[in-house]
Amino acid sequence: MIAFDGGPSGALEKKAPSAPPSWQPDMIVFCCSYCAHSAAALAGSRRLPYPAGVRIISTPCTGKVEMEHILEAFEKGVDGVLVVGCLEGGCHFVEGNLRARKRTDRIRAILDEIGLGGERLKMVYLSDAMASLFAECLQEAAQTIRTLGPNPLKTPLRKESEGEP
Amino acid sequence: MARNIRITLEGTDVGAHLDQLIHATASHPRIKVFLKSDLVRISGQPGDFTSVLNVNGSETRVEHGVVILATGGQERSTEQYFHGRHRDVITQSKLESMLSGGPPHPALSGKSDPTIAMIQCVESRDAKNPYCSRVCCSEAVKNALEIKRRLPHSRVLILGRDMRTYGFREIYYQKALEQGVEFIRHPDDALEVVENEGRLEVEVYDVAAGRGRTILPDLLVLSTGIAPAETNSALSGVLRSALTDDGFFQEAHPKLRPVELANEGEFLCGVAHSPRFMDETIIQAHAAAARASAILSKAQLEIVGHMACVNPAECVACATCVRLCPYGAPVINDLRKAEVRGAMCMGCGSCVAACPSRAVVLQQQEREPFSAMLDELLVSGGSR
Repeated sequence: MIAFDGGPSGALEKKAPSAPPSWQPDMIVFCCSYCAHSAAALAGSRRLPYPAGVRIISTPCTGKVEMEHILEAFEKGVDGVLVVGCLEGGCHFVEGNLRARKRTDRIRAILDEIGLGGERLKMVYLSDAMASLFAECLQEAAQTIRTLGPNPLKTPLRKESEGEP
Repeated sequence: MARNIRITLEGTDVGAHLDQLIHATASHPRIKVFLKSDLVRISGQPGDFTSVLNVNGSETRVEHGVVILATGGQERSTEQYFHGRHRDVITQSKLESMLSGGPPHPALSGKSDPTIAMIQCVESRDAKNPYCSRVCCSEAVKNALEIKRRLPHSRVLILGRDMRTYGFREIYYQKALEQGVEFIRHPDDALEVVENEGRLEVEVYDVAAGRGRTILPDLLVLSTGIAPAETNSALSGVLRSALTDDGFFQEAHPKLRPVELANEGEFLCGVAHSPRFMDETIIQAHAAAARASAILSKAQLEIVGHMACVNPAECVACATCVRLCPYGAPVINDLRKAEVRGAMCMGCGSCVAACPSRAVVLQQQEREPFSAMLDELLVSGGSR
């Protein structure tokens, strides 16, 4: 959306982050393409409601989700991140999901340390048939993030890929 | 295992088929057979494996394009119900070999109306071995029918928690009922065998009759189920292929890759995978052979685009990727840099996320497009 009234960047910066009651947090969900992505597709086709601010990124395996990616998402102002992988023992690539669990635990500690709140990041295991659980987890995560409020790092939008202003 | 089987339930002569198969294999000019050999190590990639075998104490190198695992299994040994301590307690396969021309059991000699009791699921479907061995019920029904054919006045009882003659073999269960074979269903722990002055006594609670019964068998036959091959755990270590909790080899995916191991170019069939009937084993073996031919028939192999690549300038040869790759795709090459062997890479990206110097990149999943994607996703977010 383009703001025509006044300087866009200055006006937006003054606005303090606040959480109106209907606020929908921005969430990035890393979905393993073998389980969670199918579960998300199934949730969609079954018309199961999940929060509107959810953006899904498909990965070949949750073991591929790098720590930088999650941290970068938070840096760019995402309110919450969910990593959804296969059930324990069900990883297509043997134990990618367990590695993802270790990494998310590590990042949660970092988030706590810098005062962002570790609860903003969650790792969930589910199978490709668990569409309702998928939707439930998203609802639950959104609720948790709502109580935490918006990401304090949220700044006026600037695409990093477009370079410095 | 097939050597102990005389005939299938459907009446196929197993021995004749086996002899013909062994002859065809042994006399084929392009098949090399290594008997009594162990796999010491294996390296390479689909279409280009090198294995070192231990053949009678000396190491032999073999080059091959694929691996098919058909390590079979064995009848489980047991010490329950006086097996090994009482002459008249034998296993189902011992009974089979007796019926196929072996020496008859002394307990039966000269008798025209012996009582033969069979106990199903011995050391099977319990806490230790929870799986069903699939073949034992049909095997018991087959041997019961054969005993009834030879000694019509004999009494044959089959004691079990459940009976399941899989698939169309149900017909033979019906036939056994018609021939007068008695099936006694009992609850989990309501069966006991005691020895009374050298004579076996079976105490069992008959669910159908609603009361306990005592049987005095001349011969007690135990169906002990199928155990995985003893070499499975050693072999799984060499091949880096997972075993199931039951000790059989785990397929890559039960529906999408049912005859493949997780590693590319390696296949499995038969009891190495799970207990199964001979006809099912043959069908599975055909499937494994067909999948293997898909690799062997090609002069060149194509690699999927989803593949990890190492930037040698960044690599410090820490071997993190070598250690954690589930498929053994990365190696440290002669230049002391990690290198991903394309044919073995499945594109899971485990090495990408774990590489401490960020030298590995998964093609089509690079970092820059990811950053851009994140920006776009946030810009198009409806909440702003």
